[in-house]
This record gives sequence, C-alpha cells and structure tokens, in this order.
Amino acid sequence: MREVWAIASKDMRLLLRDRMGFFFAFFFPLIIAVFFGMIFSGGGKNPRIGVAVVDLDDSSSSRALVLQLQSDSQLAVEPLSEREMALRRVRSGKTTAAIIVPEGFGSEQEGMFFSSGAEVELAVDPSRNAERGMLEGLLLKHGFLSLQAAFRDTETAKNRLRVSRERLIKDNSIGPLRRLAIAKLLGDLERFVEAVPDEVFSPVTPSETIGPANPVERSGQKSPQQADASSLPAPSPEAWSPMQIRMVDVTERSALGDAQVHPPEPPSSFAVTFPQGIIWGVMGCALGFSISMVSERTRGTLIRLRVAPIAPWQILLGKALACFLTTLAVASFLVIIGTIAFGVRPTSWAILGVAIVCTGVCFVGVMMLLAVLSPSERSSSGLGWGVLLLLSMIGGGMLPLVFMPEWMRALSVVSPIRWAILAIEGGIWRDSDWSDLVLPCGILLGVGICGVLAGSRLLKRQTGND
Amino acid sequence: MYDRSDVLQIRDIHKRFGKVTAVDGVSLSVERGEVVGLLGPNGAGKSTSLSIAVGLLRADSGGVVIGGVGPPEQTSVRAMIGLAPQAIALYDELTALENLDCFGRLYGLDRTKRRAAAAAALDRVGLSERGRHRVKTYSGGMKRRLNLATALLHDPMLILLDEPTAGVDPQSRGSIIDLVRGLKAEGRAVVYTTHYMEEAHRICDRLEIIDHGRVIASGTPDQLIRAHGGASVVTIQTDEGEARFETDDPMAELAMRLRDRHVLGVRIDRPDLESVFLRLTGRSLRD
Repeated sequence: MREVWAIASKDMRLLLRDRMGFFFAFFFPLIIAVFFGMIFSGGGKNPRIGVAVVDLDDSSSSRALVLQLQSDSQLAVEPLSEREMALRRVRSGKTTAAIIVPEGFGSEQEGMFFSSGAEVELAVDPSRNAERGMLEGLLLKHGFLSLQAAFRDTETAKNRLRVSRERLIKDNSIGPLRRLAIAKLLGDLERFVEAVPDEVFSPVTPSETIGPANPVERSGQKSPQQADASSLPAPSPEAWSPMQIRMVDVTERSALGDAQVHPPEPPSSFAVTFPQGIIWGVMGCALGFSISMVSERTRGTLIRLRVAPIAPWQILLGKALACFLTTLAVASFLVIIGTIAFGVRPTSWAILGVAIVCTGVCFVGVMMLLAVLSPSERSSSGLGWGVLLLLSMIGGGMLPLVFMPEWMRALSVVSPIRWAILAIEGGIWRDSDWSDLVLPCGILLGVGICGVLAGSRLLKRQTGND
Repeated sequence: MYDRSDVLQIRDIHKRFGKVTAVDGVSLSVERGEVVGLLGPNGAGKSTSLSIAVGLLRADSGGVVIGGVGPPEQTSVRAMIGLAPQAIALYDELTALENLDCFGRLYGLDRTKRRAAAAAALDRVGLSERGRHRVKTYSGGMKRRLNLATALLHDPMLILLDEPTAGVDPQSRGSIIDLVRGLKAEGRAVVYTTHYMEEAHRICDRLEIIDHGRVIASGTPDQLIRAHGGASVVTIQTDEGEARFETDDPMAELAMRLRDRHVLGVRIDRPDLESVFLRLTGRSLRD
C-alpha cells in the first residue's frame, strides 16, 4: 500500500504544482456554481410546468378544478391518487409541483363570501423557485374561474347561493353586521340569478367554464397565466377568496405525513448549483488525471513505474486513488464554501458523503477509460471534454433537467452525471433517505467499477502484457 | 541452462507484433563488471529486446533470467534492475529530490535510506546543488544525468542505459561516460545502447550488433573491426597525382610504395565500428 500511496501522493503533488489544472479542478467549479446560482435565483420560465394533481375530495367542485387545471396550457397535469406519491415525485425531482385537493374542498367552497375559503395544498420543487409564484397565481386564477363558472350555470348558481345562505345562518363565528351584509349580498345575487332568463346561461363544458386557455394570447398580448402572481389580488384574512393555498415543504420528511401550514423557506438556488459545481469539479479531476496518465505513457515515466518492483494493479490503484482523493477534496471544498458563504445547508451529511464517494468512484472509472482511449495528451483533452460535456449536457450538469424537453430528459438516464447530481442533491436538499440513494449510487458504482475494469484491461493490452 | 554468474541472461527470445517479427532468436549474457553495447539501426529490435529484458514485454518464446534468480516479471527480481529509458522519464513539475523520493518509495526504501540514496545519486551525477530545483528548469544534459541517477537510486546490480548521451552537451556526455566506467568498476553489469560508435568503442567491453531482430555479430570492438571492418584505405598524393588502395598493413604498403617518390600527402582510413556496422547491415547507424 505504501507504493500505491507513493504514486497517489506524487500525482496529487503534480496537480498542486500545475496552477492551471488546480484552478480548473477547484475554482472553476466554484465559479460555475456561483454564477448559475445567481442566474437561477433571478427566475426563469418554462412553458409547461409538470404538476401532479391529487383529488382527495372527489366532489363536483374538486373535479371541476382538476379539469380546469388539465385544460391549462401552462400545465402538464399528471393525475395521481395518493398525496404521498405526489410529494415523493416532487421531492425526487420527477415533477415540478404537486397540487393536492383535500377532503372537504367542495363543502368549503359552498361557504361563498364568508368561509375561510376552500384550501388546496401546493408543493413545489425548491429548485423551481421561479415557478412557485406562477403556480400560486394559476391556482388563484382557477379558484376565481370556478366561482365564475358557478354563476354561468343557473341551477348551479342557485344551488350554491342557497347552500351558502344556509351555512351562513348556522355559522356563529361571523359577527352580526358582517352576517347581515353577506346575507343581503347573497339574497341580491339569488334574486338576480332568478330574474335573468335561463338562456342567458348556456350549458358549459369544462373548457368553456374557464374560457379560452389564453384569452389575451391570441392578440399577442401577455396572457394572464404569464402574468406574475403579484398582479393577482393577494388573499388576506379579512378578504374572502374562493381558494386558500397551503404550501407544503417537500424537503421536510414530515411533509409526507402532515403538511406544514406555513410556507417553508426553500433552499437557495445555490443548493441547486453547488451540486452542479461539484460535478464540474469532479469532471475536471477525471479529465486532469486522464491526461496525466496519458502523459505518463507518452513521456516514458510509465515505463519507469512498470519497471519498479510493484504490481501493475498497484500503479493503477495509485492513479485511481489520486483521482478519487482529489475528487473528494474538490467536493468537500465546494460543500464547505457553499455552506459557509452561500447558505447551502445539507439535509444529511451522511447521505451527501456517500453520494460524493459514489460520484468519485464513478469518475475514477471514467478517468481510466478516457486515459486508455487516448493516444496523446491532446487527444485525451479533446476526447475528454467532448465526452464529459456531452454527458454533462444530457445529464443536467449544464442546464437543469427540468428545463430540458421530455425526450432529452428521458435520454439523460444514460448519463452518470444525472445520477451523480440526483445523489448529491439527495444529501443537500432533497432529504433523500437511504432507499432513495440505492439506484443512483448503484449506477454510479457500476459505471465506476466497469470503467476501472475495462480501462485496466485495455491498458494491459496496450502495454503488451495481456 | 542459465549460468548463475551472469547478471543478465537472455536465451533465444522471440517476439512478434502481428505479422512483424521484432525479435527473432536473440541471446545475450552480461556478467558482473561488464559493459555490453547493443548496436543496431532503428527498428532492428534493440528496444524490444531491452523491454523483454526488464519485463515490460513478454517474449513469445525464450526466456530471461536476472541475477540467476528468475524472470523480470517477478517484482522482487525487478528490484535488481535500474533502467534509464531513452525518454527523460521524470516529472518536470517536481524537484530532483522529489522525483528521487517518489521512485525510492516505489523501491521500498524507507525515509532515511531514500534521503541518503537520493543525495548519493545526485552527487554521483553532479547535481547536488540543484536537488531542490524543479526538473523543468534543468538543461537537457542535466535532465539526462538525473534520468541516470534515478536508475541508480536503489543500488541495482543490472543497469540498462538506453541512449543515455542522446542530445547532451560534451561536458554532460563526458560525465556520463565517466559514470558508466565507475559502475563497471563497482562490478555492476551494464547494457548500453547508443548511436555514437566512438562512445561504444570507448565504453563497451563487448558489442552485440542487432539487425532484423537477430544478433548478427558479437565480440569486443577490436574483434569486430578485425573480423568485419575490412581493409584500411590509403590515399597518397604525389607529383604524379592521387592514388588510393586498400591494405591490411598500411605502414608496410606505404613504405614500399613511397620509395623514390616526392610525396605531397598521405591519408590512412582505418576501419572502425561505423564501417563494421555498414558492412554488416548495409546501413549507417543513423539511418
């Protein structure tokens, strides 16, 4: 083992002496993480936001809301049956948000103008902060549209007003003056609905209920959906709103059982970009060490190593150990900087550690393959950047997966970078448990071990000792 | 089959790369205190033979025994070998001492021994003063000397020097030649490849001329010249013009031919290793 450590320590010392290599291994990823963190914290727009919708109420009101959401061109709705399942999909990054229509939603809507409003749960992927406001706005819009829909159907309107008046009478929590005012309003509305001929209200389909998806879009103006949530009236305790939004923090394990009433503070965008930065650092290490391995071959130092009284596996292990330890150092450096200076708060240091170790093993394998596939330093650099950039592009190392088209997201499963980011995010903010780590870490370890085995076999063949 | 007194014994090794035969039955032995030169044009099979000798390549057939102990594939046997490859096999970004320390660790030397061995090796090649300087700041000759020092660090009994004086200044070349003589005097076995015939003649006790993967001639430099160098060429300039003739005894021939003539000039071209090489391979060593 002393000989292995001799090779590893020599390689790490060489990296430290190479200022450019050191910069690209340690500081370039930091710049990437900070740069993109700042960009993403400014927001971004996605034409279709993936939303898992769970209707636990199964009332006519809740079904109408789900239909309205499904017909919204801004949303890609995925109906699910279980709340926990929807929250898990958000937490694992498989969908951007989850909307849960709880039991009692329909009856709450009946308390028109005086109840606290029908409550809907909204869970948003913390890395999609930009979409959060937009989703809140869309939900509020659909709440008002559902109220509007009720008044476009005579019978529904009459029924709603009648039930509302009955509930008002029974509700003792409302003061006499307010009760009087609301009762007068409901009575006026009831008389208005009765006075208007039936043909004024035409039967409506769900899509007509909410009107055209983008009523202003056709004229080329900004659609209501595209408007920021701040342009819609914000509900307050005094003002009645047809819908109340209750935020669920998916990063809290308790969210799976019991939703938090107060909207949690999502982690900063740096919690998203620092895992990407770690990946860039690890890629830099893999590339740097693959070039150094090719250098050993082209400059003749590999001959000296091979003539030394050590086994070939010790040479390979020494190179692998140097690469692995450097990736750990780079990742640790970025995590420390992220924690101290950018508010990154890992939810599980143990999971983060395991994820980083697995990522390191994976990229040692990638390094070995790159090293043996390149005849010269130049080709190693070219091939390395080509392969790693491609893997990074499709794996979400450059652009987060959520911004990618569906086909590219599907393609990303072939990139170890996708799994590395998922595993690292699991420890930084996704609050993954060990079972969540099995698949990504299994893939990372598999790629790493296959890379090392294939690389060492090819190296043996190249050096003529096979 | 193998003589235990020989430090290096190569017996009838063969190596093919696809359809190309690189080594075709080379045999060679080197004793303690002996410097054996390998001469041959590029592609003759010298490097492949050396690679097999140190265990970098496996022979298709035949065998190599180091120090009477075993083949170089055994890691313990490789500890007896010191190799100075033709390429400067050093880490430019490290200092000379760091390079030596790194390789010393690979040979299992402890810290105290490494320090002592590194200091001795640097002293031996005249680089003690530059030990803490990075190799990238060295001249070509200094790098060559350090390349050699690295091969000597672990006190090997067999030293293989592949073109150790290629591209160095006369001062460094003189230093390296003196060093090889010193190794011989210490009783080490040295295998030396070079393109410089005059250098091979000065240093080597024995030469093996290799071409097309075979040893085509073997012996001391003088034996080879006598056997394969051909006759001396004598050129005489007189009032009557210039005359050239070949002879095995130029002085006797001159004494006879110059009688009663007014001689303007005489030149005698004696055969040397270059002419031996040319006659045996049909090529100059630099082809």
